[in-house]
Amino acid sequence: MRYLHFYILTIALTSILLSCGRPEVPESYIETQELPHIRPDYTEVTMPANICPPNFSVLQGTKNIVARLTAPGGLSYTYGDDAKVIIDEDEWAELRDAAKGNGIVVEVFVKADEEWVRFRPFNIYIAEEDIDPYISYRNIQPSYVAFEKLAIRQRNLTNFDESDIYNNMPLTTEKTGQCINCHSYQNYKTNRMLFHMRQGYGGTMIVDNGNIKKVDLKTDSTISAGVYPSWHPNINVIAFSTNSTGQSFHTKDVRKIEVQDTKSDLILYDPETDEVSIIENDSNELEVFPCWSADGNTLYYCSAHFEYHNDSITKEAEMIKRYKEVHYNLYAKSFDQKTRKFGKPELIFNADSLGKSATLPRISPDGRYLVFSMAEFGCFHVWHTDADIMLMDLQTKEVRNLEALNSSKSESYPSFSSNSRWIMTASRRDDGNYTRPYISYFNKNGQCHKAFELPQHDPNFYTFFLRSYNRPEFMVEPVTISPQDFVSVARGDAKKVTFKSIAH
Amino acid sequence: MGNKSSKLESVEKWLSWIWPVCFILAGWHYLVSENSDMLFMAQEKSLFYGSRVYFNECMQLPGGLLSYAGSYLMQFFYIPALGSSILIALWLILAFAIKFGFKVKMTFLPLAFVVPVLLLISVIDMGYWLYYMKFVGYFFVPTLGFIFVALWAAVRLPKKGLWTIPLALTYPLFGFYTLLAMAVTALCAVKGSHGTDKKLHTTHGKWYIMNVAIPLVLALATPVLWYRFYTELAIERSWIAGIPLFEAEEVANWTLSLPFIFSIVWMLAMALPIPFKIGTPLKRIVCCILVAVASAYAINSANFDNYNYHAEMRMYRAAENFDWDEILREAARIPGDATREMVIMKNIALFNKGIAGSQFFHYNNMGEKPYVQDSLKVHMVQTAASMLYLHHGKVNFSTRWCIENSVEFGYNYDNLKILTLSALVSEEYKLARKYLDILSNTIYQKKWAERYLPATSRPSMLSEENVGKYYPELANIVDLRNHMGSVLDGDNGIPEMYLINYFSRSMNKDSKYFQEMTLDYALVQKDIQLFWPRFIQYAMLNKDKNMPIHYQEAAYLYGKLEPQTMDISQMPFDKQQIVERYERFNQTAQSLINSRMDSKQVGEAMKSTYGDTFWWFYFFCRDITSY
Repeated sequence: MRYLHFYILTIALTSILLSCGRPEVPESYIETQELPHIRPDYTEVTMPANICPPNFSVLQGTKNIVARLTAPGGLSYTYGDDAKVIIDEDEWAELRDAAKGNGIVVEVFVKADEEWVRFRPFNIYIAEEDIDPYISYRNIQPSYVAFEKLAIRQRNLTNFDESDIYNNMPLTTEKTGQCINCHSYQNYKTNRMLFHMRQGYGGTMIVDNGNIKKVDLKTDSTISAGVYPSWHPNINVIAFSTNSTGQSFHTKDVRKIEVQDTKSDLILYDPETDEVSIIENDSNELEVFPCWSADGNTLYYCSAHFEYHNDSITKEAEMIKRYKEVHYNLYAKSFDQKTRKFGKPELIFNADSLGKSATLPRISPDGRYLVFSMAEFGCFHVWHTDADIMLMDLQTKEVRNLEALNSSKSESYPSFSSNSRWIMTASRRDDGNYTRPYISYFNKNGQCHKAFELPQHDPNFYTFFLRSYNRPEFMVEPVTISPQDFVSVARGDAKKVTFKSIAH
Repeated sequence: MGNKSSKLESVEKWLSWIWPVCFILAGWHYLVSENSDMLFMAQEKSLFYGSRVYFNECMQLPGGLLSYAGSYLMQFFYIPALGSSILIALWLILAFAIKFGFKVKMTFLPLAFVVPVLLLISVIDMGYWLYYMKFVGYFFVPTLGFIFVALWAAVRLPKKGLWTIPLALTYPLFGFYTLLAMAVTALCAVKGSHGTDKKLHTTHGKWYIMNVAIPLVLALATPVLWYRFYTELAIERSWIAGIPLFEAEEVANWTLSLPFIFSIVWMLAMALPIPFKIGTPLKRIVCCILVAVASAYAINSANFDNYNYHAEMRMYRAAENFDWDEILREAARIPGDATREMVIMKNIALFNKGIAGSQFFHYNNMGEKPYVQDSLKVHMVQTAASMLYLHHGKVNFSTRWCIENSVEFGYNYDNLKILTLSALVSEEYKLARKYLDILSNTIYQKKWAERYLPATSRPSMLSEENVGKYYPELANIVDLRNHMGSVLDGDNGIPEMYLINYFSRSMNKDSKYFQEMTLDYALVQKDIQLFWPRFIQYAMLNKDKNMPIHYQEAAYLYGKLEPQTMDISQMPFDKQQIVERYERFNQTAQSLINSRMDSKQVGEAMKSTYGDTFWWFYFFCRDITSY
């Protein structure tokens, strides 16, 4: 009697453990040639050799499912619980390592009407190459004007660990709300990084060799503080755009929002001297989205030619009327790293001539390719359903649509991994509204493979997560400065930069 | 004498059971009878779904478990009587936990009910702050937190200060209430009244110092120790994580936090060694009655019983259910001026019933700003804009304000439902499916979600031809949206003015519903130039119908005011209701003006006879401020 509780507890725990056993593949089943309906869609995707398990849900209307994953050589594991396939991380590592350069076969069995059905097996290919182990992004509601709870977060791609790099809530009060944006790194490393804070405690947080400082990049001679950044790969300078940005709302169009610049220029900031200089400031051009080439000898950027005609209304009002006329082209400027002088603008892709607008250029670290987002017009393509990621071969200047990466919804903010083998984009394909990171294998022949959604431990995560992944960036290492340390510096005053001269 | 005393003692015993009953009755009255509409709205403005994502979100601040549990319990206010019963039951548990935790004698039971009374006040006193609160699970979190503290006191662990070391581990779960439990521990050690451990009664011994000092130091240090784990937490707020604060953009109301502050003080006072020396039964009874009367007075005074505040919520709920008759019944019952929000909801009901042309001015169109007790600025964009935009077919704008408000105040059932309908109407079926999947994971919104789920896989159900068959409640919204032009626009945060301007300046020759709305808003604008084209368009689209009375009133008046703009001599006006009545209206107005009344007095004098006409609206309905 004295040990009754102990016995009951032991029996209960044993029962629980037994009930949690590995599901078994049914002995008999009928086969269908259909692929199973799974979410996220990992059918026939190519994944990195170091990625975390691609857990998924089976959406066949029943919770009774079994999935068998088999690697070349016969290594096999089964999973399935409550319509979810949650793969053990260690077992996945075994499967993944065994399938490197090859594929893992996934068979999905579903019990429907007392009978098991086996769907057409699909492959999850494992590339030879790794992916950068970290990415960072800003989690934000697909918002319009308001901002409140914002965080720039980092995620370890080899497992499911996620943490804040910076969270605005410790500094956000009702009177001094704080918007944060545009995190950026030098060469995928985090000892040189930056992000902006707007409104309350505003300024740009610069981490230079691990030291944090807060600067105010607005000068009397520039349009605004720095906006879209690009840190030079070799020397300690950062190219920014400066923008006068407005926002208006579509009454009916599913694009919902138009974000337009009424004017924009490019500046160069030197973190060592805290000086800014102008790179481009043609009043009839809207220059934006600077991006350094891998060797640092060229600055790519976008520019739209736009002349205001109507003096009777404000520039903002005219821009709202003529917003569809804004077409950005891709330009390049040579850059002398010693003298820090720029060459003349060179048009490298005339999107306007196609009735299109090209934005957000990024260069592959091997220097061969340029990816960018292209849509009918404008610069803020995250809201443009027609926005697709395009690829330019910088050797041939040939441009093509990366169809395997794109969808019928918006794709924007492309970026290359540090080994040039993976392209990540912010895609709205899941539901048209909430941006998710999609990653595509980009092989040595310049071919893109079917993109996969950033895996989450809970495969239903994206259904319930009501924030977007904004500006996903690859990193080769995590940010080690704590959010609290950023907050300490953010509380202080921003150092005013000085305007130096025109850099070109 | 002895007989009298024993009688009083039996009264005292009897009264000790009466207090809980009185509290239950008061709670039921003020929650269910007086505030059902508010409780339902509070539930609509909350969110709980059984997902790890949601749990993790709650746990991002200290007291996460309370937030999670609180938001779970908020769901039950979908049936206000059920939610209220749960809340009252928890308050009873709290009262008895206080009684046992702090050794309150049965004869002093009302003292144990002071905190539940304060919590009842905190529920019914918030008024329009309901729309501006950012505190997850507001109605339950403090209750659950105080129960935790009282139970901590009741289990008699507080007598040993060392127990507060493991207690510090509960800070992520209970936030501030962990710190309060530590403070209670320290005070209990001072009191030394729990248990019989002789060492604790040695008031100057080392145990005494440890039992007082350790909890106090930990109460101060625990938030600092945990701070590194919370990236969302401001250090200065880490000691109060779990106490509701009332802060909006430009205003903070500390009065509304008083019930919590008093509750905290009361809990600490209960732990203090204050001797109760009210000896005689009579004095004890009087003391308890005084506490009970003071409680009753405080509850009644705190209850936010502004008529429009509650009527707005009832109308909003009716609009959510597409119950236009109920909205019009509410509009007809309003004793004074309505709020602008109520006026617009009344208009929507009239549009949907197709009787705006004949009844638009039968209701009070004088709208006022919502009544607030402090300087809180209530904006329609926070209270109802999404719903109002939805019913005007402006689904991009309803989506916008749902998202803007979710950024500020978090997602909730109300904005998820409006987002769903907006997504369905704008043919974003995957997006609608996402919201419906979330709502399907809830207890009470599941049924609502199930109704619209089929449309996400069969979009034809929402086509202009089929929507009336499958979703008749959305037919007018689909019609409006389909006939709307696509331009870039903005409402500058004032939805009523935007709607009036947008529709009064629009025209449509294909949709009768849309066109009538443009005409009605042209009437609201009191603009003759806007009126005539819309009036003519309406007449052309409705050749088979008699011209509704308000449109005749406007045409007749404008024809008289500006005959050069339109010749109305050939228009077939209703002789009795228009021609003769207008003459009487005119004569009455002239005679009142001649009697030296000012315009406002004339309007008041004529309201009972002509308040149901466009003429009265045109001349006397003024000084309307939208918000």
